[in-house]
Amino acid sequence: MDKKTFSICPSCIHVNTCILTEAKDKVWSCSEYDDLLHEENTSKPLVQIHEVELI
Amino acid sequence: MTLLKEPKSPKIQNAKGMVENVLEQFNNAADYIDLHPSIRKILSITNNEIIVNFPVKMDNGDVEIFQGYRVQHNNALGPYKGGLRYHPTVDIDAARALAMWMTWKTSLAGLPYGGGKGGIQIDPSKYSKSELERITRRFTFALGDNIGPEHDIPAPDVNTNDQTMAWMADTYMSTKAPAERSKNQHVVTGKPTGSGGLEGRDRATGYGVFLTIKFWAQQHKETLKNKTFIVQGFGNVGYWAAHFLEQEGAKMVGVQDAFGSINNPKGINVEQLFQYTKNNNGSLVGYPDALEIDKDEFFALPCDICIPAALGNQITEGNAHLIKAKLIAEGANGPTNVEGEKILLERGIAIIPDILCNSGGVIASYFEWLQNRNGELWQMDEVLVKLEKKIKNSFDRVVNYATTEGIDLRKAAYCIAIERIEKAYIQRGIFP
Repeated sequence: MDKKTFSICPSCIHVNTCILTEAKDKVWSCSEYDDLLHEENTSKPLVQIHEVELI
Repeated sequence: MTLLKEPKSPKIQNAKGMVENVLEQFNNAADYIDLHPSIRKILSITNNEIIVNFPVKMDNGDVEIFQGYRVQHNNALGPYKGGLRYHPTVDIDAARALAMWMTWKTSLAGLPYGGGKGGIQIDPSKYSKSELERITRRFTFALGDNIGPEHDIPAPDVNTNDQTMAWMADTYMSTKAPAERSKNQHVVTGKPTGSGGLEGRDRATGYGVFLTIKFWAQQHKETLKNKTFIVQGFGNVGYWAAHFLEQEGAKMVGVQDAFGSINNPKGINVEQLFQYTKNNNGSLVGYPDALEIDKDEFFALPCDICIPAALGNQITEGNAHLIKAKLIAEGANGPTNVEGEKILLERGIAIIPDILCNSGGVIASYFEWLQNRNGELWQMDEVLVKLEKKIKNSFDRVVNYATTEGIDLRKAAYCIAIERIEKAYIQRGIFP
């Protein structure tokens, strides 16, 4: 199992613009995290990932 | 000997941020109550850690192998309870700490639960909805009887939601004999209302935040009418907390979300702001009836109550001296770090700790579980009344303990939670 410490920020669609924290490598939970699993579309990926280098 | 020095768990020393806070808070309380060393050993380590590797067929016919996990910390008080998250990387030490945190949270809330945490190592954005369904279902099948309505009860977390829970419940129930299926519906909580979910679950956490603030005000012989508050995070917790506070006559004067921060000393209408964000891609920036302010000004805004309801490590040694509020109500998990808390307490600012303040959510999960278990369907008003009673009970116990012992509310909350588990072990003994 991958043992890197993880944060949810890199997979959030607000990662490039979010002002809530600069420590985007240490966030375990966030009410502003954008959960896109409510999408109705069944046949294609839910979201385009923004590839971001972890801080 | 503190938890961090336990030779059996050296990796815990590498935990960062919120995880460090959880462990330090446990250690402080355990030292304070002089926790029985044998029980300390039991609580300092997880009961079970399950890893499953399972195959799933993708939409294009390829088979991928996924890895899922479930960490079960402690079940002295009842079935394990905790969220399932889908995320590309896994930190097992963090999962252990979060499972432990659930143990404290459920214990403090007076629930018959222990603590657990789990998930799948997956980036859900890379999969279609039908693939996610098959992944979820196969994961549920792979876990088998490692979960169960009387053993381990998952719930939503990051990148999982009511749909995920509905798939899990359906899959788990399908593995049982036909006559047994319905009685296994409470294997997970957070289900949609049409599939055994609880009415009012969406507002339960925010309502609980509001209630703890109301009880604190009552305890200080004050009302919330015309009290001012700021809220960080205008998502599910922040919005509902603000909604109920405004109903009670309090005035929201500042809000911060992922996009920006706004302030209006005369008050910001909660519902109008919410409607604005719905039409503005979720952002409060540009709201016409407030001024935009710099993010660093937010926590220094004049107000009576500050509600961090977004993420952890927000009030620190860097800004705790700027806080004007008399009360911090922790709607988020770990928003105040240890150094920040020290400064706030020295300044005489009260903190309703997260483990108490945001417990409305896990209590609502318990109600959903009970509802299913009893074959009932509860109405919203019934849920909110029961929630108020449960949170009042927890709040009063924490306040009484803190007052009697002369300690802060957080330490009191952890002491109560740990003592409840300690009592269970002392009464039951250790088999054989």
